[in-house]
Amino acid sequence: MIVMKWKLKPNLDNPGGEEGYSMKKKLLGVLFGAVFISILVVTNSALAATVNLSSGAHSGTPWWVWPLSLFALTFVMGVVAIPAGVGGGVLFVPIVSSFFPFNLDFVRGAGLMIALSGSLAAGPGLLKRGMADLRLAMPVALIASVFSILGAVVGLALPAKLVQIGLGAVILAIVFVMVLAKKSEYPDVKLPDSLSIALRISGIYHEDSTKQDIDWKIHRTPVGLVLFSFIGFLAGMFGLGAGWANVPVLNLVMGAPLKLSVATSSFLLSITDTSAAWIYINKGAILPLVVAPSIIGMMLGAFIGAKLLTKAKPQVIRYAVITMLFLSGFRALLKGFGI
Amino acid sequence: MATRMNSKRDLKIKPQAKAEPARTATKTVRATEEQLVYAGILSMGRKIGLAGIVASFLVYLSGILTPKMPLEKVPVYWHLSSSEYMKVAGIKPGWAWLTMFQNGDMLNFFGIAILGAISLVCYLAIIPKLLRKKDTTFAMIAIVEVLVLAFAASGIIHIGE
Repeated sequence: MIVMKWKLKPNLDNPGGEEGYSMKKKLLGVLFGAVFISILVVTNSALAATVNLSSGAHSGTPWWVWPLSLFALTFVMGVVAIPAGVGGGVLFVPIVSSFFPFNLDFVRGAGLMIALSGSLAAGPGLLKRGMADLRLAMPVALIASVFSILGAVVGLALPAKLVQIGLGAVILAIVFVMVLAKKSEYPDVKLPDSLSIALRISGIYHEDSTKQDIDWKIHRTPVGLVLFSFIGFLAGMFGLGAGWANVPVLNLVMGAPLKLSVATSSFLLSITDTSAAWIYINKGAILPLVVAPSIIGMMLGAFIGAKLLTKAKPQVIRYAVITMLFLSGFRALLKGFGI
Repeated sequence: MATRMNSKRDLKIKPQAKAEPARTATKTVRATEEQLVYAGILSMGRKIGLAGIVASFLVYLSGILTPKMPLEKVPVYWHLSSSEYMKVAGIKPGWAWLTMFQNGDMLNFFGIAILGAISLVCYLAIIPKLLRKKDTTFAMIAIVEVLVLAFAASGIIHIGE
């Protein structure tokens, strides 16, 4: 069984073995991310001069400026999300809650709807091609959706400042997961566990790049289910899509092949986020003026992002996104502490 | 395993090469019947839901239908919590939006609710297929998931301030 780490990727980009070239890409990405967040800070400060963000009282800024800027921002997020390998929700919630004047309730509600829309857009194709596996997704989705409801209830009941601090901490933790977590193309599963055997969770998918059918099975299913309860809780509480956590658990813990993990994660978000989204919808935490332009912007951006995937330099974009997440997570923490 | 998968999951797999037992050089993998049914409904629901969101948002922006909260007033109140906002706008929680389709902002919930309901419909559709295959465990998982999604959507859960 061939095991390939993503860590090897820079060598593929850089056959000459010049490590400095890879470092330059990372630094370029960090620079892009920092510039993007700086633009948001400056814009935010300029708007704050005309709008009292804490009281909501505004002096002259036309209402349409906000959905239009939200559309532009989510369009950019949509473009970078796919090459960076993250979902829209995980970018949307920390950035919009840090730089826009909406209550966190509405941002989390919109974040869930964005993650849900993205998952619904990708899900049918992945299922039809057999890249996402319904049998692998159903048990973990059940656990995750139950806990996402609990997370949504707790998140909507807690004081906003506490949720903001928690959000900042979770986003910073996600940054570390993104930087440190390795990924295994074809994990070596010597012996499937008894639960996965009983549930008959195994299969074969076709790998287009090598024109081969990959036979896969999983292990550590009980541990995976426990971790998915935690992932579901966080997704519901903070309105984040949970692809950042789904993929490492499916791939590194349960031993599903990387592409199958990514595809199944994309699909199972549609189930996890649906249950949490209903809690937000019923609580009135859905503001059409926030949700609609965000979904449309993100979908259009993702369309362009998917086209750019073959031309863009994923490492630069990935590090730009990691920097954006780090800075907005840090800002969410400061906002939570009232700094 | 390949033989077992062939009978259980509608896959046509050629015998695997001895050198690489985990791989075969064929393109014969097919998704299961229930997976294809699920994908078909998901695809259709997604299109209807997203079209609904775009159309209702355009109606909302056009002002054809009077919103519960005037567009220019929304930025004044969107810093409020969802409960406070609903009080100010005169919106009731839960499924009350169903009775407020004459309001432009409430119309948007139509597309949003469709997106939220698709997974439930998909699960309902695959339950008979799983039962027919005597896959009782996964049929039970699907039934419980339907109950969980219905519970979340029901509005039974009330969250206080």
